[in-house]
Formats: sequence, C-alpha cells, structure tokens
Amino acid sequence: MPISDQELKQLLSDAKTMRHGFEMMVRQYSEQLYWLIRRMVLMHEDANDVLQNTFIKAWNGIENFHGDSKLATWLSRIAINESLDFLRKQKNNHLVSTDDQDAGIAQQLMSDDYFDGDEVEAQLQEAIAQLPDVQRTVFMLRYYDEKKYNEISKILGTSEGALKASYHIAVKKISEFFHQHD
Amino acid sequence: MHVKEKKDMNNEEIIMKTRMGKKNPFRVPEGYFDNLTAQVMDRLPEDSGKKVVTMKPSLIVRLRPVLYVAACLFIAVLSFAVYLDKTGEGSEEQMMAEQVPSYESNFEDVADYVMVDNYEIYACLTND
Repeated sequence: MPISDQELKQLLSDAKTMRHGFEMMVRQYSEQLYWLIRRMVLMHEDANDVLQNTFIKAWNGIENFHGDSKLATWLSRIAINESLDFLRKQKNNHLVSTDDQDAGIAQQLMSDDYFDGDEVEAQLQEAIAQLPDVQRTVFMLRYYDEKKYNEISKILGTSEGALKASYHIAVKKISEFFHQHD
Repeated sequence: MHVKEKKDMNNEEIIMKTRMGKKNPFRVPEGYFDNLTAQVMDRLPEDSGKKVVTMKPSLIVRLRPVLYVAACLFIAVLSFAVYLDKTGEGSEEQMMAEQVPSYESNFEDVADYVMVDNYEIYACLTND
C-alpha cells in the first residue's frame, strides 16, 4: 500500500523513525527510479549500481531535503545526476572515439541477456544514446515517463521553454532515425 | 512556436509514437525488485548521525513575522497620517490668528504715522 509523501516526510524528520521511513521510501520509489536510470545507462548491472549510489547519496544528504518538494522530485534529481555522472565517466574511460562507442551500443544491447528488443529497437536506443545528455534526459522524462514540463522543470531546474525546445529537437532527431531506416 | 512548426512537431511525435510506441525492451533478473530494498538498506551506514529531514514551515508561517511588521508599519503610517490631518487644521487657524494681530498692528502703525484719529477715519469711510 503506497504511503503518502506527508507520512514519509514525518517519519524522515524524526531520528527515531528515520531509518524505517527511509526503508519505506526505498520500497516505494526504487522501481520507478530504476527504470529512469536504466533507460539512461542501458545495462542492468550499471543501472543497479547507479540506483544503489542514488539511495546512498540520498541517505547521506537527507538533511538537505527540507520537505518543500515532492520526494519523487528530489530522488529523481539525484538519480539523473548520478546517471549523467556515470555516463560521463564511461565516456572518459573508453579508449575508442565517441562515434565508435555509440556505434557499439546496438551491438552491446543485442548481446545483453536483459534486452528483449530486436535489432531496430537496439538501433533506436543507440539513436537516443547519441542525443546530448540534457536532451536525452528531457526526452526520457517526457516521452517515456509522460511527465509534464513543469514537473521536469522542478527536477532539472531548467525553464519550461528550454525543456520544450530540447524535446522538440530530440523528437526531430529520432524522427530522422526512422526516416533513415525506412 | 509557429502554428506550422507545432503541426510538424505533432506529426513527428505521432509518427514516433506509432513506430516506436512505449514498449520497454529492457528486463531485469527474476526477483530483482523483491530483494532490492533489503540490498539498499544493507549498504547504508548504520547511523546517519543526528541528521534528519528538517521540514521547512509552511509559507504562511514563514511569512508571519513579515506580515506582523508590515501590519505594524501600516498602522503607524495610518495613525501618523490621521495625526497630520488633524494638526494641519489647527495650524491653519493658528496662522490666521497670527496674521490678524499683525494686520491689526500694521494698521495701527499706519494710523499713527498719518496722525489720523478714529473719527476722521469713520468720516472718510462714510463720505460719498
């Protein structure tokens, strides 16, 4: 049974119930956050690592949450930042050029046990992965999570106008992918 | 965004949703989510110290001191305005009262200068 944000915040604001409240928060939001992260980082093992780091960061920085936003918004912000940090480190660690790395994504996915899509879907994920980080994030949140622009604005701290522009560009680029594969 | 651009955008989005859908091609190991919470909690430090969520009071509570000060200032300004309004009438009367004696004293000075007595002034005023 889902617990309300208010009840969770109450539990988290008392030292005696904080751990219990945090556990309930993890149970409530972990799956939602996992899929947000997974769509960014693609591989299950990486998504699992990033998700765990997200909650550790949330735990260590719990005093920075003042209850003035939704818990989902706060956690999503941490998850997205952790995902982007992971992707940047991954890019820096790769010895091959960026183009080669992106070209290998479809192949990596096809050989991944936890990817059920066909070749076209793998190539689509590669096209999404080629988007700049912010565009990719906005696209994920808008298209897959169906979040409203004002919600995305609170998560990313970006104006709605800039978000709409980012999404518009992302949709255009992905549409071009489909035209190329027709 | 222009109307045509919006229309194009909508068409592109429709095509994308038709071709792409929202199918999730990713999956997780069996039982992953069932064990996830326990795994996360095991990795957390035992005690985060005395850190807890510090809830910000609601907006109206935070603004209360500001509202009190604003209300006091308003009352003070209003009172001062009323005070000024009342003392303003008194000062006009006072000014008029001051002017009358000075007017009267000036007339007397003039009368002395021309050495005219009251009878002669009356006669002059009533003369056609």
